[in-house]
Amino acid sequence: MELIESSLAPHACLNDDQPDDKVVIGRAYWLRDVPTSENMSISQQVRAHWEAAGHRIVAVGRPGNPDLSGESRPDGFTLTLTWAEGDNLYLGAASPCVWPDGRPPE
Amino acid sequence: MADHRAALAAYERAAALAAGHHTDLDPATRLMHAHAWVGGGAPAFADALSRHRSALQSSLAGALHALALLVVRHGGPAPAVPALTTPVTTLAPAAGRFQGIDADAMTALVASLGRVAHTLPVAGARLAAELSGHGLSAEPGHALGRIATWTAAQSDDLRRRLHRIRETVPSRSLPSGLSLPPGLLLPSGLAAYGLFGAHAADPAGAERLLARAGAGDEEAVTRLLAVQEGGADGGLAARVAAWWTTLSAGTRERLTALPRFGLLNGLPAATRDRANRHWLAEQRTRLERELETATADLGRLADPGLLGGWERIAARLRRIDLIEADLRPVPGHPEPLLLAFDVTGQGRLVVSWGDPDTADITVTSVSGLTSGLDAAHGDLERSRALWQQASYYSGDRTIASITWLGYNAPQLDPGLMDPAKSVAFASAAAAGGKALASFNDGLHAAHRPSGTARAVVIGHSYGSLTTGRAAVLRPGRFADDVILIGSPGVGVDHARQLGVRAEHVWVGEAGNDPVAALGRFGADPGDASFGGRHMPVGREVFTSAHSSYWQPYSTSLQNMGRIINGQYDKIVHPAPLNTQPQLLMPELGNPTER
Repeated sequence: MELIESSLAPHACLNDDQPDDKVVIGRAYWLRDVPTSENMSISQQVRAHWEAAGHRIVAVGRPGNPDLSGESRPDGFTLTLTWAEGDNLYLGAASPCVWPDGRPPE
Repeated sequence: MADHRAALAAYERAAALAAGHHTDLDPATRLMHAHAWVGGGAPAFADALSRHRSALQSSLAGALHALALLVVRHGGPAPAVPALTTPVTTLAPAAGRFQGIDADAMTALVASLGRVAHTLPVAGARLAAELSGHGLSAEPGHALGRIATWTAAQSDDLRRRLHRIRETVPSRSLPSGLSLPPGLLLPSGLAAYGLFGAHAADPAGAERLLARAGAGDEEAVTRLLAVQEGGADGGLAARVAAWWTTLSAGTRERLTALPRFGLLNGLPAATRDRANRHWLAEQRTRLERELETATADLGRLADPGLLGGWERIAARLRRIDLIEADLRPVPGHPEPLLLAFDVTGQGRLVVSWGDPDTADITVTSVSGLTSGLDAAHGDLERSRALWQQASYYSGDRTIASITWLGYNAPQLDPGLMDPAKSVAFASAAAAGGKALASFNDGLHAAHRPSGTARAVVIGHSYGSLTTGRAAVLRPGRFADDVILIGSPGVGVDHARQLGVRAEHVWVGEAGNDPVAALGRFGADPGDASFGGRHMPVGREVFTSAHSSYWQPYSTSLQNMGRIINGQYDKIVHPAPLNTQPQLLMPELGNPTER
């Protein structure tokens, strides 16, 4: 797994009902050295793992498409396994809106 | 009794002239019919050329008929007059949004007209001689002469313009990285208003305004911007783009220092960015000076009536601060390009992440902002998130993601329902739609020619109404795909009324968005009867209704990324809630759609 550097920068919280200064923390990883023929198998394994952990499967790709979209329970992280151009899968997660320092500013 | 043999010989000589010249204008007419789609002056020139071609053929036919009649009058057999009309198919190719045209085809057009101009006068003179030599009217021969004169004038005009265009359009017009095909691709707008400019209607007097602007006339720029704002002239941006190519480096340099110059749609993005940043800095300097004076006056005169003026200046300076903060480059993203801004009113801001003149895919996001410039930061974040996601899926293709806050949304609290607000929003969206249509024209006009580049527009909340209004103003020419998210309606009852093919109109569910409280504008796009395509956004009754559509790694952001890239088959769909069948029938390896 190769960390996607650009995924580390916090995103602004864009929810309508949240304060502007909250952030979303994310992280994504390329799944390198995976033969394309293994993509669906990986997808099934990831899906089984999320389900076993109690997370919700939000959306899936059409048959033959390994893409998965999930939401973790109980903390509401967005989860993804996605095929990107160039035949690379990446695995990503992003938090709900949180305070940058872990608590509201004074 | 006159001998019919002399008449017959004259007929045969005339018939030889007709055979040799009746298709003279066919090649040029075919070329023009194939390129009239570029618009501007091309359709009018194509028509004029068609008419002259018809006149050529009917003049030759008339001469032959007159001579044939003469033969019969002299007792000879009636010669069989051949049909001289030839068909020219009027099939116009389906042009891609950023399609260029081959300069070599235009060179061939000019060459063809030049040959006709050279050879037709002689034919006309000879025909006139044959006719008058037998006491007939020489008018058909004179008609040929006039057609030749007209052709020569067109040929000269086009040759000069094409020469100038070839000199000024650099070979960067060709896609980089590919083995260069012979020839140069011209932006279609440049053909429309540069090459065929002599035939382009100009109801708003734009050519004269551009000439004055080129001389440094600020008021001409203001007038052009007013025409642009009205959205009526779909060719204005192409005209601006064509005009820009005719200017010297010195003139261009001077123009980037002219106030508000960078707001003109059709200019290259890099030019707009330079000119706008210059204007932004100038405004800052001026406003700071004004604030100093206003502060001093307040202190000196202690007149509370002066406070309003002071606050207005301070508010504008605050907006400049906000814009400058928003323009700071963000690591991992392209440099932002400032395509437009205005610190008056509620403010306007148009920023592109990535160069929209060269991008393989351009996505423009139109928000339903009700707080003007002050809340622009969130929209810029959304555009960056879109750029990021679309880039993950685009491979080698480049993306430009644009935030378009180009209109004044009424400053109204969306939480309270009031029919008067609906009216205010509708009228703001109508005005905004015109400005957006013009901006969109500019994206097409300034883009390097490409047969494969894509344009996508995303309308969010009330921005979707503005988007709908703009699409209706440019039927068939607006965007490859339109995405509507949280839409209270787009002002039409069916997707196809947007002038976009219904299978390219995407609707994310309105869900629990509060905008619905502000009333509806036309049919609910989320309804099946609207005819749009469903874009799953991964939000259901059970989940948080307020999480952002642009949440990283979310279903909604990823599906927007797929649509932007035209990867429709890779859109993800809601998973079945009930996984029991999977457990009972484990051989069903793949999930089925709901």
